[in-house]
Amino acid sequence: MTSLSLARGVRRKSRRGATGGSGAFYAFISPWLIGTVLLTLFPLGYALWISFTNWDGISPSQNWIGLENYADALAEPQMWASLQRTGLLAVAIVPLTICGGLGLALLLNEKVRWRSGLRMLVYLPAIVPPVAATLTWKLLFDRDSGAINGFLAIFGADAVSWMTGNMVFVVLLVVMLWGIGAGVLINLAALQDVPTELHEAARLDGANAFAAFWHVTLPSISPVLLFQVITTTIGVLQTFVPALLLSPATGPAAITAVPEANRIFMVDVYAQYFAYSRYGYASAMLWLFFLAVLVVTIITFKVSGRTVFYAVDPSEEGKQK
Amino acid sequence: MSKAGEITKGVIDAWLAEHPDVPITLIEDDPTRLNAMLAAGTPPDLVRGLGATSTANIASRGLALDLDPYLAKSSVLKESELAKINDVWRWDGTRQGEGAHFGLVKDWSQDAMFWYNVNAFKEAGIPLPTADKPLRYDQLLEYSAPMTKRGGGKVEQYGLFTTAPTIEAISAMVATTSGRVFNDDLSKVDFTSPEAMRALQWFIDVAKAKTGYTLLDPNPDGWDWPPFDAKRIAMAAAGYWFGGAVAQNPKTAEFARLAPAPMLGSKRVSPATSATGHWISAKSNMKDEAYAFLEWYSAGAPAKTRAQSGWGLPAVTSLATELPQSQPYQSEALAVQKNEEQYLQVISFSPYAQTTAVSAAIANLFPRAVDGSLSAGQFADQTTTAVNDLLKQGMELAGKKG
Repeated sequence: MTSLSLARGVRRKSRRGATGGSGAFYAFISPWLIGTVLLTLFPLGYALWISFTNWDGISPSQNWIGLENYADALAEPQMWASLQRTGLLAVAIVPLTICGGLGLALLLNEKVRWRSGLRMLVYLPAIVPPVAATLTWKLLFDRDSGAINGFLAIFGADAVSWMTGNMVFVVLLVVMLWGIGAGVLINLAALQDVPTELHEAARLDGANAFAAFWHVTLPSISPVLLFQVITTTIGVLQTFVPALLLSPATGPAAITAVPEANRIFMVDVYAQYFAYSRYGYASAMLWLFFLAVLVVTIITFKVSGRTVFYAVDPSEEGKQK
Repeated sequence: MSKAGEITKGVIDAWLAEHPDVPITLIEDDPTRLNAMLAAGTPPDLVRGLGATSTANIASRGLALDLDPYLAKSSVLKESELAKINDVWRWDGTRQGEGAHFGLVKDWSQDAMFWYNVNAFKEAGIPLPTADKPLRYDQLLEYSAPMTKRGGGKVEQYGLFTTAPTIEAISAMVATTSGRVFNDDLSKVDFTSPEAMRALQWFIDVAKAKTGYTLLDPNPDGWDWPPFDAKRIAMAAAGYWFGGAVAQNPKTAEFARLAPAPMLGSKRVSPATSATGHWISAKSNMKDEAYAFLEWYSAGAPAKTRAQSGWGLPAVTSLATELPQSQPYQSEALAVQKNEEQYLQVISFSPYAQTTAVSAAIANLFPRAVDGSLSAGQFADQTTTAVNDLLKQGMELAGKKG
């Protein structure tokens, strides 16, 4: 009896402890939870509701039109064209950012003179506000007074109309690659975390520099690379501000003046919302895009399962505890 | 909601000195934010807007307050004192320019007029435009070629002002042929009429001739003052208000002159496509206070100061004498403007779509018309369809059959 009471007492105490712990847990995460509900889940749900209407954003009436906006979006060549441009942007930017960032990080990880200064120089563009950087590039690429054409003129080349036609897409690529230093910093941190004994072991086994990089360094930093692939992909797919700032017009007219080559998905969505007042249609576009990004992310995770190596197997981590 | 450069701290301080119990919180003019505020049902009390293109839209949706009862009882501003331009803020339910006032003009100009560089015209041996004999659009294109100077692939000077096939510009051009782009009930457009086709063809020809900034070769400065001031364009698309900018540079004031609106057809029409002003939200909780500020700002001391600066024409007739005339370009511009006013006409825009949306639909197809992948006829057809789809959607929301 005594032992039973004791056992019950322990169990009760344990339950109280657990309750108190979970209370503290929820108290600590409540700001985030409240923020998520109010600023993410509610807008998502509201956008979902709007996507089934033909609301124009200011009219008092909202007519329920079912899946019409989704059908219109899927049948709209302009939407597919903007999606294609966004895909092209991602295909160009993601590998260049990841590989370029890794390459620069490998160089800056070597013991060279003025290494700290060089690291700072590479990272500096990443802390320049994107708006300032984009507008600066816009001036540099100006056909008649830009420095880029000024430089080309030294070699007798004719001025290039960078801000029109397909060339403006090149400018967008340059603007987006300008901030590559942020990836360099992450890669540098990952490289410095690779155990030196692994490299020593590889060297003893006769591995050359490339083999050591391929079989030791790359697997070791692969989780960091996966993180960058996913965040960079999502970031590139959501690109909006640089494309808008490269528009020849300013103010409210800017969105509709974005050159066709730069009419990526988010530009199209924004234009549908605020230039064409098609709130329902634009919301449907966003939901379709959300699903597409979700699929891309899942595929990336699935594919990465065979190529990413963890020091601790994430699936085993919980069991060890 | 307005611009901090217009409702300045000085203006707010002057207002507060007279009305300490009516404070002002300025929200910077932002159409996106306005949309969000309207959607949330909490619009600003007073909103900046372009009367020429927004009146039908805001009035027909019940967003703007009918100002006629206020005008009727006001001891400060009588309806008879309003310049004719304020008619663009009127809407009778079917037509713009008639009915109740839904806003008041701040300053205005006849926006199809243009400024030109006298020296560039003289160097090219082109006769100067006069107040009573406006140029034709085909003449503008012809004259712009010899004034366009290139070197090493760069453009040193364009002959023509910046052009874009906006609904405002096309409507203004078609009006000079006695035609219209919108139908009677403003529910449809037709760009396939011979008059509208001529206007579209002119924009295509300009883009192909490359004698001015276009949608395909955009003006990097966003407006014509910087390149005109730097002599990189020989003409600038702007009405009388541009004189305020010219006043900033004495050297530019020597060569800048104002010309009447060009003509596509044979009828002189010189519309105002902006007529910037303010409207009061129908949902405002401070309607009386908002109106008091509106009439003070549009016709009181701030309006007098603005008239003296030359940044536009005043909204009330009594302030016309305040316009600057001390410099030759100012007196000449005023003479041209006074003659031009007789051709002022209100052009109705549809309440079922915003002009930015309509112009964007045209701009979307324009590059293909220039590169030849669409004929002018196909461009007109497809633009008509695209814009009519927009209008149909707006009509459905308004509870009307499209």
